[in-house]
Amino acid sequence: MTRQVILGLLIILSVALFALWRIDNPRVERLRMAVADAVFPAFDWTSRPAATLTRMAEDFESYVRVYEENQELRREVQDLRGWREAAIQLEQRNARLRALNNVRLSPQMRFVTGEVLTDTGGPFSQSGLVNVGRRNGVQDGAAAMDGLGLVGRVSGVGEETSRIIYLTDINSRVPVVLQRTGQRAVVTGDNTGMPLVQFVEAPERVRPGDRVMTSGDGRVLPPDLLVGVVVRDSENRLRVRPAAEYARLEFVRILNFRPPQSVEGPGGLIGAALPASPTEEGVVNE
Amino acid sequence: MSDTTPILRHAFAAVVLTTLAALLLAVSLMPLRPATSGFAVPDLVLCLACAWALRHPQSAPMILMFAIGLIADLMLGRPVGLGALTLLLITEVLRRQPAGVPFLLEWVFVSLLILLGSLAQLGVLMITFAARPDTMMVLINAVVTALCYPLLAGAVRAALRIGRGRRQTE
Repeated sequence: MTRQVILGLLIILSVALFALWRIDNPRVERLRMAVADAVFPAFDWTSRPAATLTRMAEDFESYVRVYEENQELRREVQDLRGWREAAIQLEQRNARLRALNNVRLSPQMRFVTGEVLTDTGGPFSQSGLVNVGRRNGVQDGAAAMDGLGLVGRVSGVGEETSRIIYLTDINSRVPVVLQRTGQRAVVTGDNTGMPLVQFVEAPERVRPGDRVMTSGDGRVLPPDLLVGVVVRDSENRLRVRPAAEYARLEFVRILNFRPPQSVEGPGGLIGAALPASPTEEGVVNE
Repeated sequence: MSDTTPILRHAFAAVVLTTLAALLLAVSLMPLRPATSGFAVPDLVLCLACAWALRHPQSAPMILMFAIGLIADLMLGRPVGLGALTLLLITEVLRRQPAGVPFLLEWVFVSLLILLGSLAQLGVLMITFAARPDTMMVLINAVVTALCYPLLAGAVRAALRIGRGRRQTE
């Protein structure tokens, strides 16, 4: 009899928790981070050996195909020399143009680097736990990058840990711009290694290989972070191949980005906004 | 004295169960980077709970099972409460099964329950309009979880046998 009562209570409790998760997600996310913070010390000793093991396996693999890799690297160096030349020329030209225009660049973004402690895969979530948190200045919603591309977004901050949901997570939506055509789109995770590119205005103009950058719309992520390149899948849908290498994700940078303030209405110097009425024109002229 | 010993023994077994669950959770959380490669990730904690509920239900009270499921939900980033409820209901069904069933039959039964549980979770997410993983992926995951079951059943049996051996020598 008491068994049934306990079972009933537990069922009600889990339904209530699920409802809370569905309705007030941020609060449950905070609970999640509290649990992560509490058990964080336990992961220090699992993440390190695991990382070492992965690295050893990768090193061994690279031993096996050292010759091919050498050839590949040679080709790549050749390629990059050309690019470096191009980059230097462009930079000089850029500097000249900037001097002409007197451009003021936005202040350099700061970042903190954290080590990936755990990562969870599976159909429900693709996220990782990083060992930097509020104490290190991480803010909720901040962008996380590896050396090259966007990894994901901070979706929960604890005192000294934070959770990053990857671009591939089903809850991940990132507003982007497709570079060659300048079209806006949204990169939507679907738990595969390559997230979908959705809401493109003219998908037929998009070519595989186009670069995908964040657009900064929505004012959560900063603009112009590299996301990846466009590919087409077997069903002819547009997907993005992330530039971030999830397979060897060890350290991530979390950017400290504050969205630019928008200017709304005239400043106090000019006075309060005038009611828009064309009949006042004569008064103004006096 | 003679009736406090089984209680103590069950408490000890419960501690072993909790430790095993924590270990498996740590294993699933290890950054071995399969997260985004599209590999199926077996739900080892669920396997452990199933095997334990069948073999030693006395030492796995509902509250403990629920707590394990809830912690796993929180740590693995799954919908909170949903995984715990599934785990609780599956182990409740298994608890009522008679012991001494051939292992093959047991495996089939547990696999069916795991599959059913995954589908039920998908159904709940669909009803509540939550972000829902790809059905195919969930099914593959359930199958991989079911394939991992014999491994954990063996581990549970070994753990319980060690416990029994200790008792006999005492």
